Amino acid sequence: MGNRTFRAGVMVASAAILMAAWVPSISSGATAPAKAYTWGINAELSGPVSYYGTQIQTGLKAFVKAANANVGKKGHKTNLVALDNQASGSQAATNQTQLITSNHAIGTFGNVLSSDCQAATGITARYKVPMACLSVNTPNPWVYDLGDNNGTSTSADLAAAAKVSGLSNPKIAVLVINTLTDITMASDLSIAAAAAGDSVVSNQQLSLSATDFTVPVANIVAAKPDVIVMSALGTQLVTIQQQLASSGVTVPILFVDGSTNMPQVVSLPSTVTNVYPMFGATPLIQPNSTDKYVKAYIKALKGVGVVPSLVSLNGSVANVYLSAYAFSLAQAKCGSQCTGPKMQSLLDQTKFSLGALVSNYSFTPTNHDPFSKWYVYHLTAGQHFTLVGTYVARQ
Amino acid sequence: MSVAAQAVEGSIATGAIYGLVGSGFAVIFRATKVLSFTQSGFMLVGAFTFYDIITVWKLGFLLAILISAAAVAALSALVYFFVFARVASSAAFATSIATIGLAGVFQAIIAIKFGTTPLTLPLVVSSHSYKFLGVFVPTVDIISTVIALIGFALLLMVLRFTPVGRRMEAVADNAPLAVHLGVSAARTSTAAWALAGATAAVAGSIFSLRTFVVDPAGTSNLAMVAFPAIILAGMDSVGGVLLGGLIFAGVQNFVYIVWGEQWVTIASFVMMLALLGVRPSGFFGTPDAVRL
Repeated sequence: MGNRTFRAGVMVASAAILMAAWVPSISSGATAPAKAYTWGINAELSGPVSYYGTQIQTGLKAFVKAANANVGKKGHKTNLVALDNQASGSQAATNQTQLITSNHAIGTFGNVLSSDCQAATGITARYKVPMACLSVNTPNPWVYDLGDNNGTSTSADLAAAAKVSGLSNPKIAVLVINTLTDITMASDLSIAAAAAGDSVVSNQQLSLSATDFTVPVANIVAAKPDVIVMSALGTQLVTIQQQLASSGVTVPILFVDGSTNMPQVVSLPSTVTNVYPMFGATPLIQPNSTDKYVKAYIKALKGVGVVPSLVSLNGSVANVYLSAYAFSLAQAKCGSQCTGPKMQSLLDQTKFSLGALVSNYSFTPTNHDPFSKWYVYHLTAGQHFTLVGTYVARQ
Repeated sequence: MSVAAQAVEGSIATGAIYGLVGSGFAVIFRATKVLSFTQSGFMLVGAFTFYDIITVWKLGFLLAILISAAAVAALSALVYFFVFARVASSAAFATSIATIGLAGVFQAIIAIKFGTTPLTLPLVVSSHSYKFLGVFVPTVDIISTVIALIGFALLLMVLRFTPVGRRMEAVADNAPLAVHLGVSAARTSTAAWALAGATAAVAGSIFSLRTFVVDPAGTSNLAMVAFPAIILAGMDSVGGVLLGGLIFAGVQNFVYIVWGEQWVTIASFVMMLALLGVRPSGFFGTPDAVRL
């Protein structure tokens, strides 16, 4: 090969390298300013709990779009990168790695299942990037609770069980799905009930993919409880409530996952009067609220095409909105592209109240569950909610 | 009330649905030697069509099931005719893989049209339960089981007593000979896909009826949950899958009562693997005999 040919080859190669370097910078520049933050969504966007994952995606999109509209031209905008963990722990870990190392996410949100959160925890701790999970079973300095923590419901469950049953020491049937968080909750509830003089007459688990509820329902019928404490998918609530009713069991059902299963809760037949949805993060958010923070929240959701209703405003959408608010507060103090221990330290000092949306939302270095209360409602006539009581959330 | 006796009632209702799910797999497998995972997609389409007819058209649930079955049968036949008839010459294994992809397409279409949120069915069946020998028998269980058994009986009658059914049996017994004698393999396979589509739609509809919910994830997942029942009976035994479904549902409930929920999935698949080890063609399947 002659010198001229060699030089021509080098020039072509150099041009190709420059082109390669230039093209991504143009394409990323079109969607993201140079100093934009990146937040990751690592959630169950497909599979049996995809409803909750997509709710997280919607709430985060709403917050980010509203926030980006307010930062002006010189401010730091936020990009969102969403990856589906397919309700698989290994995929959750892979996604977490990709979001942090490839997409340079400085915070991530999602993980409906505590097992998926746990699988991603090692990765996020290794890279020192804070992660908000909907279900957290094992506390970690880098993991923040995004939603209702069923593990803090124990004392509220017992107090509400006494109130709705009208008995000081009711017989309780416990029915939970077989996630790490719920298994822990059921275990804690049994211990606390025994200490309080209550009796747990049935303690059962359900699979997420269960197709037949005959045996758990039969066990509850045979145990003759005064009240049922249930944490399950909304679809399972509908089926089990109906099956129990047709077996003559209409004792109160405290539904610990009330806020995150609003579509099924509000679609129960209007004749159903024994369901008590519990809200462990925000109180019930009404579409006609006049509170300025609720109005801002509704406006943000409308910005991404959400039509305000009891279903669309409550649950994981609201929870992740608050989580994003907390992260953005810490981010604003921390500075551009800040993450790691400094971001963690600022997050751990986060404390705010947003009117009727949430009160006393706070993280501390030893407590990453930001919510302090459980709200128990009585559902009647389809969509009518009456507050039964407000109870302190305890670990 | 005895929990065990109640479990028998539940196992019959669930097993009948598993059997109907399995019969669709078996019909297609007999006719084409393809294990069609598109059945889960057809169950989903059937369930949501059923939901739409009840909530939008305000028709009764029986009519809704019939219309849903007819619509999905037509869809299934068209899918075979326009998609799988074109790839039928390739290995059955490759076609089976392609059916997984198509099931995913149906799931995506349903998600676009209806969203990913499970939808609650209006109360179209009485919530009354009859008490028989101390066991609660909900009306919805009676209705869903009867519909499953009628669907199953109709399917067997079509296979036994109609010309198209006999052609399907001929292809299943000896495909090259049947084709040599003038049976159109393409038409027979199209008919098999239509029948299987109808059974999937009925199974999806009655499963939704029984759970009061049309759940995108739960309905498509049912096909996978019922799979050990199909293996138990034998892939090509249309009649056997009903018994396979009943046995499998009974085992699931037995395991739940004795060892708890956490052992149900493990026990189900261990049973399936153990059976495959000693009787690869299932209890009622046709063993592949090779003359040496």
